[in-house]
Amino acid sequence: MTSYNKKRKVCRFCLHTDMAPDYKNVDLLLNFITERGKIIPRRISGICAKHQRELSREIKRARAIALLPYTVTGK
Amino acid sequence: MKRSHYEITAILRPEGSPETIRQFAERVDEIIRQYEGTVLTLQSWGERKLAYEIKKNLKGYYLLFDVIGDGKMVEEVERNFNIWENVLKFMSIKVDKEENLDALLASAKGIDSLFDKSERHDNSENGMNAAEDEGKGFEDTKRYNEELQKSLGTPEEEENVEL
Repeated sequence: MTSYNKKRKVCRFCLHTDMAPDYKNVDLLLNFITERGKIIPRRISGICAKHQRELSREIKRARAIALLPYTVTGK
Repeated sequence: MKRSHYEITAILRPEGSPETIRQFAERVDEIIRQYEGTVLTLQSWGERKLAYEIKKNLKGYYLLFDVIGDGKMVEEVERNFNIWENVLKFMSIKVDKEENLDALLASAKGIDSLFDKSERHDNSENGMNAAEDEGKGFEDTKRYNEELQKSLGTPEEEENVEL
């Protein structure tokens, strides 16, 4: 799927302006972290720079109150 | 006095009875009043699993205070949270989007917005009915998420990333 003429992704938050990233909305944020708990880079998710900034801020807030993990290790 | 809108989340020890949670909320409310702040709403997310251990606890009881007040008030609330032992962790966030504070103040419900409901739980002999307590704030986000998921489809090929 790494073809050259791949369709350019559009930022999801720009498409749906009523849905902003929010630290209280864990289910939404879960879409933007990896299984290990890392924030997915925007080159992968296709989020625009502005929303990626907001998103990363909200993910970090959610981490601070233990809604999301800082890391997930193999136990 | 410069007033702002704050969201103060507190994670309490999970063992607490509804009564201790109520006392806790009342004490916080008292402090906020002393500093001429107003509690807009109080939400409970109930008992949730923590993403990581906090002070040896794997679960915590989440309370969210939606407050209008000044920085001094937040400072004092945080100072007290640090002293009280049943607070595992807390976080205060200043809501930075543009809002009409007076309109918000006019619709303020105070901490009773939560407790009218939990009292009903007590009557039904279901002391720690956290799952239902969750209702208020969480229903909204759940609905919101479902809509979002629907409109977005599934997140594609995010697993491909080499991290």
